[in-house]
Amino acid sequence: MLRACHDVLKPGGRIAGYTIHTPQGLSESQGKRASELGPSEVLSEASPVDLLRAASFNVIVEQDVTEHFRATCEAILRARSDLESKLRNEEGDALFEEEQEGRTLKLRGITEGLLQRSLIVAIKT
Amino acid sequence: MIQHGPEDRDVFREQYERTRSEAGRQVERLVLGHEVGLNGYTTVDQAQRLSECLNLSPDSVLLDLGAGRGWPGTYLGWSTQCRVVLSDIPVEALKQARTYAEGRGISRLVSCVCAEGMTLPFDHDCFDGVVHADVFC
Repeated sequence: MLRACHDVLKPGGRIAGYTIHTPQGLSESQGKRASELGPSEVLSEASPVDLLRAASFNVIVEQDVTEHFRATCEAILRARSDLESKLRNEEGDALFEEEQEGRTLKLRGITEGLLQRSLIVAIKT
Repeated sequence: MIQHGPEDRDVFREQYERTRSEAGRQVERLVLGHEVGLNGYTTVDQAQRLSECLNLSPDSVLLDLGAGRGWPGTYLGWSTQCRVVLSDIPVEALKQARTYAEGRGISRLVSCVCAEGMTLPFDHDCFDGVVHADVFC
C-alpha cells in the first residue's frame, strides 16, 4: 500500500498520518499479547518508519503521540461510561459492551507499553 | 504494523452500515471535537497538525487513504480549501462522507473513490499529499 502511495504522489509530495504500532524489540509473547490487546492486525515485524523507507520514502517527522493516545482512550471510555444508559438504549447492550471491552483492552495495551501511536511524515524525493 | 486486508471488508461494511447513535456522536464531539463517525483517535488538533505537515494550500490535491466517513480528509479540504479524494473500500462509508462534505459546503472540493489501497486507480505523480489516520495498524 505504501508503494502504491509512493507511485501516486508527485515528486516532493508528502505522506502524513497517525499509526498505531508496537514498539520494536518485543518478545514473541509480548507481540502476541499486543495483538490481543490492540487492533487485531497490529504486529511488530517492522516499524512504520522502516516500512516507509522500504517504499522509497524519506522520513522527515517521527513523533511519538502515545501519551495523547492514552489520554484519548481514557476520555472516550469515561465519556461512554457517563452516557452508558443512553448508549445502551440507542446501540444495544451487545454493541456497547463490545466497544467498551475493545477500548479497555487497547488502553491496557498502552499502559503495558505494548501499543504506541506515532505521527510520521515522509516525502517522495 | 500491517495494513487491513480484504478479510476485514465485511467487518468494516457492517460497521459503517450501522446507524450512528446520538449518544455516540456526543462522545465523539466531547472527546475528539468532531462527529464524523470515527473509529480512530485523531482529534481536530491532530488533524490540524497533519495539515501543517503536508503544507496544504488551495492548489493542493490530497488523497485521504482509508478515509472511512471522511475524517480527516474533509476537515483538511474545509480548512485549506484543497481538493480531496477520499478513498476506501466500504461504499456506505463514502456515501456518508459525501453527505458530510455537502453539509460543510465543500462538496465541490471532495471526490470519493471506492478502491483498495494496494491498487490505487490513479495516475502516477498526481497527488501533492497523502493522509491517513489509523489505517496502517
